Amino acid sequence: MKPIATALSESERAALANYYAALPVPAATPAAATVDASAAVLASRGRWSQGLPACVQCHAADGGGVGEHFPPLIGQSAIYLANQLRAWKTGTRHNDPLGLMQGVAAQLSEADIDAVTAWYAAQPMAAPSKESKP
Amino acid sequence: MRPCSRALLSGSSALLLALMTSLLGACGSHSQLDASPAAERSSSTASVAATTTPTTPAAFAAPDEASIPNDGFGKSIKLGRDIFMHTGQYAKAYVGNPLNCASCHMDAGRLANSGPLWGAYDMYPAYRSKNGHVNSFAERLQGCFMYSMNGKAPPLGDDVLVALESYAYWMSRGVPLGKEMPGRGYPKLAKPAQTADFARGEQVFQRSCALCHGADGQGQQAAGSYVFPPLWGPQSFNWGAGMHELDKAAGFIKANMPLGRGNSLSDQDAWDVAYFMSARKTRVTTAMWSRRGRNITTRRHRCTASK
Repeated sequence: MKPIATALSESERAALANYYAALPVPAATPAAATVDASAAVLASRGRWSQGLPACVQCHAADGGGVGEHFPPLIGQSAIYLANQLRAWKTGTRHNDPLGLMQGVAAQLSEADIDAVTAWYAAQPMAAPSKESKP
Repeated sequence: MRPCSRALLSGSSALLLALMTSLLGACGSHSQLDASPAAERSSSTASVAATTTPTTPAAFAAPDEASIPNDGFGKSIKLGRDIFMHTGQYAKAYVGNPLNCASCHMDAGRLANSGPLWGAYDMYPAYRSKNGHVNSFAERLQGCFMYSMNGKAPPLGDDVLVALESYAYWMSRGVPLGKEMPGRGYPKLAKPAQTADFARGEQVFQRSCALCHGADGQGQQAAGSYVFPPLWGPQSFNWGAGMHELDKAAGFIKANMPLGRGNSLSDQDAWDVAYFMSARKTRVTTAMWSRRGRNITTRRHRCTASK
């Protein structure tokens, strides 16, 4: 992605972002993988013995995200989600406001990452939100 | 006569530091919790494991949710937990804002230094100077609805109060009656080096709080329900709430905010932003209550503010 992204101008990046954000969200085909009950718990309750908040506390109860800074987790591939968590964990991604995701990822084991990303990827998508930006 | 209970207030700074240290270095004790409604479809035996703090033996471990029995009593415990986490949904008749108990009593009321239920339940009945008489635990909970939830008191004996008490009782089994448990309430911070200041507090707010709670402190909603709660105004807790008191707010914020980054703010920042939040609230609330002509119980407001 780096050479491609680098080749784009600022206005091209903005235009592409707006274009893709405006496309209708296809119905997700949830993974056939067995759903991990502990992943559901991690997503909805966190693990406060380690100071780890639940995903839903920032990304909303349905994983649909909120506002400009807390994106949806549903409708994403498990691979993409896992890559982001690993990137925060290793510090290769560090654009998270207040370092919130780096703090979260630091508390996640590899098994946690696999489980919770598979769980979110398997969640059904709601009807396209009326609030999606044009 | 038993002194006034500060059931949700006191805590130990040293224990807080030890707790946070243990959290940062804790091995991954696998904690399974009862899932939210969306996740419940896919979970079968998931349950909350004991909240352990390996290097702070004095801290109480809230029990595994698997220990909630599958009988009539268990039903009440689970309802109490559901009310605690989704207050507007399960106690709709009594709430006046979109907060949940769990908004300020983190991890469903289990978390040390975040007003845990196990730190409060064993301290009742207690005399409270707030209303000048001995309060049962149920009456204490009524206050939560009147003030923190800006709503109205469920009548004593109501299912809502019984359920919450069931939940608190279940969580507190093993706590010696009347013992001031380490980690109860919010930590007591030393008075700030500089008097709490509105302007400094506003800077802290914009830097560390607005991301979630909004630049206007009105929270954020997704699909019609709040993800981050409002902090002042008619959609938040009112003047009678513990969170409106400067020292409680500062202690809560220091230990628990930003979410997942507790203990990252300095004490000074915590005091300043608590003052900012409280001052924003006072302006709004005073105007609201004046218009309504309500009979406001006078309370001493110990204000360390410079403005």
